[in-house]
Amino acid sequence: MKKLLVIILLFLLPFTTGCWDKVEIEQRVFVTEIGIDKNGKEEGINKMTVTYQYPNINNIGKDSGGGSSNFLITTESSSVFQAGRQFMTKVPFPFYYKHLKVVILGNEFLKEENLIRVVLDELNRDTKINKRVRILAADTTAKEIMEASFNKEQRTEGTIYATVRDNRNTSSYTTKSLADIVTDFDIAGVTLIPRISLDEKGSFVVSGGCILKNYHFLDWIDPVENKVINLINGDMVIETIDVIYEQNLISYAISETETRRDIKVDDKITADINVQVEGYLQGYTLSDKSSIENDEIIMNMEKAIESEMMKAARRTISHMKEVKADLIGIGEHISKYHPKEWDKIENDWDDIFSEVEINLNIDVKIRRIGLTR
Amino acid sequence: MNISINLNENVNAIKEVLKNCDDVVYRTIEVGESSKTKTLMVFVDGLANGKVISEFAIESILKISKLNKINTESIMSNISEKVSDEFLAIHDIKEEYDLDKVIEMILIGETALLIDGSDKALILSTRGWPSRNVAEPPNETVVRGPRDGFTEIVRTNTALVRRRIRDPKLKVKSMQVGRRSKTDIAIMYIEDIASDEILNEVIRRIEKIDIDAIGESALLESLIDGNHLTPFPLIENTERPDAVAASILEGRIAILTDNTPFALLVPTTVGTFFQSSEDYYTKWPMASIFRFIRLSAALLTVLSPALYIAITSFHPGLIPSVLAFYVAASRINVPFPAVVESFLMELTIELLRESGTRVAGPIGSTIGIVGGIIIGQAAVEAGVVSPLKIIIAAVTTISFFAIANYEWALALRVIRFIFMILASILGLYGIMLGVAVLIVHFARLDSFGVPFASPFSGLGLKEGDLKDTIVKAPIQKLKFRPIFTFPKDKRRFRER
Amino acid sequence: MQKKNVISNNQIKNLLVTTIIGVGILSLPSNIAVVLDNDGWIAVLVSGLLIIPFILIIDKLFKMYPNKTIFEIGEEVLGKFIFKIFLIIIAIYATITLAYSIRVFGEVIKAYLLERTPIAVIIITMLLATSYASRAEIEILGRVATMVYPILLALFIFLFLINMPKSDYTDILPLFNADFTKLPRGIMVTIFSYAGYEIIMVAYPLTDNRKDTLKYTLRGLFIVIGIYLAAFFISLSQLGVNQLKRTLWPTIAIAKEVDLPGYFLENLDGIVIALWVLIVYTSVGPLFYIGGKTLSYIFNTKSHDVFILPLIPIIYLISMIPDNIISVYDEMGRILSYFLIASIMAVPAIIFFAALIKRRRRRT
Repeated sequence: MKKLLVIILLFLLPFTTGCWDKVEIEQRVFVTEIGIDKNGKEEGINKMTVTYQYPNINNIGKDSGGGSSNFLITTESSSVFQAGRQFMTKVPFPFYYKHLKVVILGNEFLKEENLIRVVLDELNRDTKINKRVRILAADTTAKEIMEASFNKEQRTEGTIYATVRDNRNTSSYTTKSLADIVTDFDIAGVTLIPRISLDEKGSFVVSGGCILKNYHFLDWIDPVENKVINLINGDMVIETIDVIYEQNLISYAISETETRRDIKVDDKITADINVQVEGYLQGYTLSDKSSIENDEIIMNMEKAIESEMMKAARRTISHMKEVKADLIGIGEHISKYHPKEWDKIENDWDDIFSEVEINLNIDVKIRRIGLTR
Repeated sequence: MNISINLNENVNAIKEVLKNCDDVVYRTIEVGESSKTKTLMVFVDGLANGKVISEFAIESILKISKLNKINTESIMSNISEKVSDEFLAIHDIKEEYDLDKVIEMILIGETALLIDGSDKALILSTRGWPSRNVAEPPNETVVRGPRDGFTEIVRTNTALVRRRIRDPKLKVKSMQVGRRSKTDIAIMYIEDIASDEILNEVIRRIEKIDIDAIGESALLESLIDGNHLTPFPLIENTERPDAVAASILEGRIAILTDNTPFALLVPTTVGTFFQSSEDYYTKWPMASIFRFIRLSAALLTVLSPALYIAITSFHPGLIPSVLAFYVAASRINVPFPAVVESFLMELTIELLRESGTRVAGPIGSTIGIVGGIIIGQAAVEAGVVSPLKIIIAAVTTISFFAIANYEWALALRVIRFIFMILASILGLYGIMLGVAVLIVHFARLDSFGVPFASPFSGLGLKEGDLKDTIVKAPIQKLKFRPIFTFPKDKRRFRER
Repeated sequence: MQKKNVISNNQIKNLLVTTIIGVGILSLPSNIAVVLDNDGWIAVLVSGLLIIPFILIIDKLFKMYPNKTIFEIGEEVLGKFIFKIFLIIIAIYATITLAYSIRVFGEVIKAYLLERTPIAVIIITMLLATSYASRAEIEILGRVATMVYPILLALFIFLFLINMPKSDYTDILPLFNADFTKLPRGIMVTIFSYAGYEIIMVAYPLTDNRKDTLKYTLRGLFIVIGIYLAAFFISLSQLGVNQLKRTLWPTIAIAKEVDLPGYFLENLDGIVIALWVLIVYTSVGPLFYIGGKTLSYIFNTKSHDVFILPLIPIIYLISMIPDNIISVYDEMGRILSYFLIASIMAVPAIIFFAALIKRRRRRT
């Protein structure tokens, strides 16, 4: 008899519940991109203008209707998730953040340290958001960029995400995820996020970067500087460098790099950075006979490339010292390999960084030259 | 009741008990030219083999009547001995003094020979009745392997097994079960391999049975398996004599039941349900892959619908974005929520399956086509069901048929619905709770003292029983018998 | 034929590993990083090694009294009354630990899987499901552990493999830079993660091969230490020490971080959490069983499953006492560490020493 009671109770259990979390998949709105701008109005609690992008489900799959591939909505809000709540008055279905891929921060917004801290904490704390959302800095407002791109090419995840997903194809910008940014801030106080802007025709361009320091905007850097930074950090994957050599253009493609840092901490901090670059010759000039006859020519080419790269590197390093942004990992290195010294200088690192003697040595090797001589 | 010397008394007694049994034949023959001793043969028409009776029994008796010219008076009392010792050509003759027993024998199909003046009846073995030919069992076919299968006659079945194990240590123990059916069962085992304890337990459980009739070995199975609260079969059954022979050689005990071709194998573990005869007749890498496929099939058939419900209704974040968007797109105008959709589809498929098994032949396959293709296609076209769900239902069904053992697959069918209910309340969490409880359930079951979840749950892990469960190791590596049968002789073969 | 009440040594080892590894592993890397930064692994290692003498004590104890259960030994050595007091402490420990574990479990499930479902539902369904296991005997628990053990190992190997592409191993540095005066506090934090090893006290006498049991048990302990260290290092190299200190449940966070769209690997936290439900189940089950068995001995009942169902509401109520997750880890954690030391360390040690004294007294 007792067994029967238990079984009946267990059987009734499902019918007494409300299936609290059950929401049909087509009744959810998947937010793929969020853009955050500074709200023009100064008073009130709504300091941000938040824009959500979500896909038009009807357009996916084989029965695509017409219509744009994504939708955008904007509101003023005090925080990112609060915007989601406010949208509930306009959108029939609840938002689902697990598939958020990209967050764009508008240029005015970047200067507000408190707001950035608020946003980053929100994103970090939330249980649903994937910590690998890519964060971008816009040099106009985020809203403009999203408006320009949302109904372009048909891509379920959003075109911006597809472009910025990783650095596999170019080093003009450095992809950063939320996790990366937080870690960078923890260790070095500075981070570098890709810069997105609009070109003349109104489509978006991701190139160059934006330095954030202590949760606010520091400076922009151009694509070449970005490439140098990536190179020194060992993150460069494939990149092509143009060098003029004896009035001809050498097109050199980098395939592998290796960086070795040797940092000595005495009264002065000296950083010897050796970068080993390997690559192949992408293009030269087609002459009547073979253009590359002997080893010497290759070595001269390598030297030309090195000097070109050193020029760019020197420019970049002085820019960094000028704005006091240690983007090449010197502080991080010291904190790991010379922890005792780092404890002493950690607090004054900003100023000390400008005084660090950085000896950069780039060694370029052309390993392959393609199919012709 | 004892047989009387007077033949008429005996006849009347028999006719009284077998009143209204018009298929009982009473054949009187007078023996001896001078004495004219009456003999009576009683048998059931249809059960007793008429050919044997007329060719051997009646002929022999007619021969006696010619020869007995001289001896009729003196040997009248001994005529029964004379008859049985000297003249009757039937290969199995027993003597019986108890009339009730005689009647029992008649009902089995033997012929009773009563002689006037003797208080002894002779029981002639004339059993023979219409039966099937030995043919490949329809549910357990193999691509390569023997194509004989058990029939409904227990003696034929024991013979089929004996042909494969010509060892005097192969023992056959006969028992009868069922008060009215008196069904013959035969317990087969190899004396110096099978565990005595398990054997005694089997016999003990069978002896405890007190029931009217055993129609099929399934009834026997449920009476002796020791646990009726679980959907999982604790005793394996098969129609293939080669499977039985192989199992006996591993140390298991086979129970053959009259009137059914399904033999029972004891003890049974989860590991045995992944084995099929075919594995042993194929090369081991392929066999390993097939075993793995069977395991995946079992998982798929149980969990697919539940996972579909969990992911679409509860956790769309658990699948990659592209897939999630696609699933959402495919479900846009479907009127039913995923849960209802799943139950509808699963129930429809169950209906199709049931109707397919009831109806054999061409009508059966039509149902498959009608149901599967037309209904499925129409449902998607009408937008009633999302195409993804149809695919899932199809995968589930196909996996169901890929499982080697039918009973096991049936149990999984039940479990699948339980998982669907769990998933519709608590999503993935509900499914995992179900998995946990299922694992504990397996751990608690045991088949005749052997833990059911072996070798996964510990018994046999050290001895390497997994070699023949998840994968199929080459025969050279399978030197030892599996440990779950507790064999007395552990080695299968010795290297030369 | 399998005799009843027999466990193989392998099952004991699996039981040990699956019982110890439960809710603790989620927060362990973070909790210890807060105290000791990058050197948290030292505390993990030392705590693990600290358990070894207790295992040796238990092994010795059963050698002195072969074929007796821990209850019989305790009664004989300490006298019924004192032993029952100890058992009450152990029962309270078991109940509070269960409440703690199940509350943390509920919070995690609510955070990652079922946002709106009331936590009461999650907790009670888990307790009901585990009661099915804990009403059985210890050899059943051994079998369950053997079946879940490969899943546990596979999960950690999987976590390790998917994190390899994006790990920065230099994040593990600097080593040996921490404040070593904090080590004792670190050990206090980590020792709790080894709770559950006391299940061997119940399982020991039922083994079929008394000689090798110690070997297997120690092997199990080393596997646990290895898994904890691996979890710590993987979390550290993925998150970096500061983010690690911030994250409540780093072990799941690292699964969430995997994003290799080229390989269709995204949002893997689903798989990790699903398997983790099993892991928690196998750590709650035996603990529940110990609670039931202890109560059954105190009240002299024939079998322990009478107590299992009534314990469910008690555990539930206790688990709902702390207001939020921080207070769970803080207050409940502190109370628990006292009970823990009292019950799973002090009790076997006291029984052992009392047994020694008794033996010496008997000799003279």
